[in-house]
Amino acid sequence: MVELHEVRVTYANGEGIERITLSVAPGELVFLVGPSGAGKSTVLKTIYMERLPAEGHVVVGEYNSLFIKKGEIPYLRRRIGIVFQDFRLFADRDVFENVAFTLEVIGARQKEIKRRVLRALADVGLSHKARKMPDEISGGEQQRVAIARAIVNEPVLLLADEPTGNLDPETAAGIMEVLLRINTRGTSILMATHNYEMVRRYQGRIIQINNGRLVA
Amino acid sequence: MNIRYMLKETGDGFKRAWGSCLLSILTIAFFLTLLGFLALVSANIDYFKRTLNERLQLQVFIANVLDDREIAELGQHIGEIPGVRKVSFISKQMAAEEFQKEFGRELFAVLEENPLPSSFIVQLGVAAEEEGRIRQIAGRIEQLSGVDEVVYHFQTLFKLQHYAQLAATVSWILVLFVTLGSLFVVSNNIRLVIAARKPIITTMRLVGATPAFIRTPLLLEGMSQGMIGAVLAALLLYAVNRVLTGLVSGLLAVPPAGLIFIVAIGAVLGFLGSMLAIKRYL
Repeated sequence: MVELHEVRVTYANGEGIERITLSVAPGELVFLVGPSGAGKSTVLKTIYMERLPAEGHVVVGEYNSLFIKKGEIPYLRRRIGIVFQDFRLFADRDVFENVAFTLEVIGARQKEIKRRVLRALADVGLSHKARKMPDEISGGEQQRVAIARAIVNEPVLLLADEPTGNLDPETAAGIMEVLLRINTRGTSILMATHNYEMVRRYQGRIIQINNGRLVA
Repeated sequence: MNIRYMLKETGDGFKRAWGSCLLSILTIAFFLTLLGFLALVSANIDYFKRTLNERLQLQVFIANVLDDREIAELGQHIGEIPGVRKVSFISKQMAAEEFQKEFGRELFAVLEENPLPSSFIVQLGVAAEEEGRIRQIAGRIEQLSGVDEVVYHFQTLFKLQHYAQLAATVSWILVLFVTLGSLFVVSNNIRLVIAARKPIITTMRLVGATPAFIRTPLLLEGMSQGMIGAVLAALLLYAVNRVLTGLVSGLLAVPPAGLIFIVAIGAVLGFLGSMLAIKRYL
C-alpha cells in the first residue's frame, strides 16, 4: 500500500534522508524509531507528499510521487490520516467541529458528518467533550481529538508523528491503546517516535532510522 | 463544494476578527461614498454641459431695410451654414411682446414706434467646448448681407465649460485613487486574516483541503466586506442626495440603478482585493 523506493530528500542545511526503501502493508503496524533529527518526519512528509523526493519515488495506493500532479495531493491526503506531536487542532472551533472538518473538506452531508464524528469521538473516548474548545481539555484529550480527526474519514493509512511526544507516560499509554485499537480494525499505522523503550512493548514491526538512513 | 460550510466559515471569519472587518467595512463605505459623490458630481457636470449645449444660441439682428422676402432668404442662408441646428425668426412685434413680458412695462408708453429690430435666434448644433467653431459660425453669419449684428454671450459659458471640464477630470482621477484605495483596504485586511490563520491553513492542507476550499471563504469574506461597505455608502449617498436635491433645484437625484451599481462595485472591489491578497500571500 505504501512503498518508498530509494528515496532521497535533501534540505538546504544538508540534512534529509538518503536511499530509504520501506513499505507498509495493509493493516500493518510499523514503528519508525530514531533520535531527533534522524529523518523520521521527513519520511512521513514524503508519504503525504509535503516533500517530493529528489531521487527515488514513493507510492501510496494509486498515487506515485513521480507522476502525481499538485492538484491531486489533497485527494491523496484524504486517504491518509495524520497525527502530529503538537496536535494542530483548530483553536477557534470546538472538538466536534475540529473532527468534522475532515468531512466538510470532502463535502459530506450534515447528517453523515454528525453520525461519523460522534462515532470517531466515541472511538477515542471523548463523546462527552464534543462541545469543548481545545483549550478546555487536557493535552492527552487534545491528541485524542487529533486522532479522531485523522480517522473520521476512515483512512487506509494513519501516519503518527511522535503522537506521544508531548504527553506523560500514562497519557501516552492511553494514546497507544487508542492507536492499537484503530490498527486492529484494519487501518495501517506508521508511527514515528524516538521512544524505543515504549514501542518495543507493543506488537508491530520496528524500523530504525539514524542520520537519514535506515539502520539494518 | 459545501455552500453551507462556506457561508458559515465566512460568517465565522467576521466574528473572529470583527474589529478589523468593521474597520475595513467603514473604510470601504467611506471610499465608496466618495466614489458615489464623484460620480454624482460628474453626472451633474454632464447634465450641465448638455443644458449648455441646448442653450447655445446666437441672436442675429436684421437690418431694418430688409423686406419679408429678403428676411426669409437670409434665414435660409443662415440655416444652410454647417453647425446651425435651427433658425427661428423673431419679428419686431414679437420682440416688443417679449420685452413687455420680461420687464412688465408698456414699450410704447414712452416711445412712438417700436425701436426693437427683428432678429433670428440661431440654435447651434455644436458642443459648447468647440469655442473656435462657434466663433467661426458667428463670423460667417456676420458677413451675410442684411445682418446688422450678431450677439452672443459665450464668455461666461466658455469659462463655466472650462471649469466643468476641469472638475470632471479631477473627479475621474479621484475615482481612480478611491478604487485603488478600496482594493488596498480589502487586500490588506484579508492579508492580515491569512497571516493570523497561517497555522490553521497549513493544517487544513494536511487534512486534504483543496486550495479552492481554503480560498473560497476568504474570497466571500472580502466580497461581503465590500458589499456591506457599499450598502452603507449607497444609503448615505441616497440620504445626502435627497437632502441636497430638496435644497438646490436642478440637481440630479441618484437613480436606483446607480445605488445597485455601487453595491456591485463594492462586491467586485472586495472580491478583487481578496484575490490580490490570496494570490500574494496564500
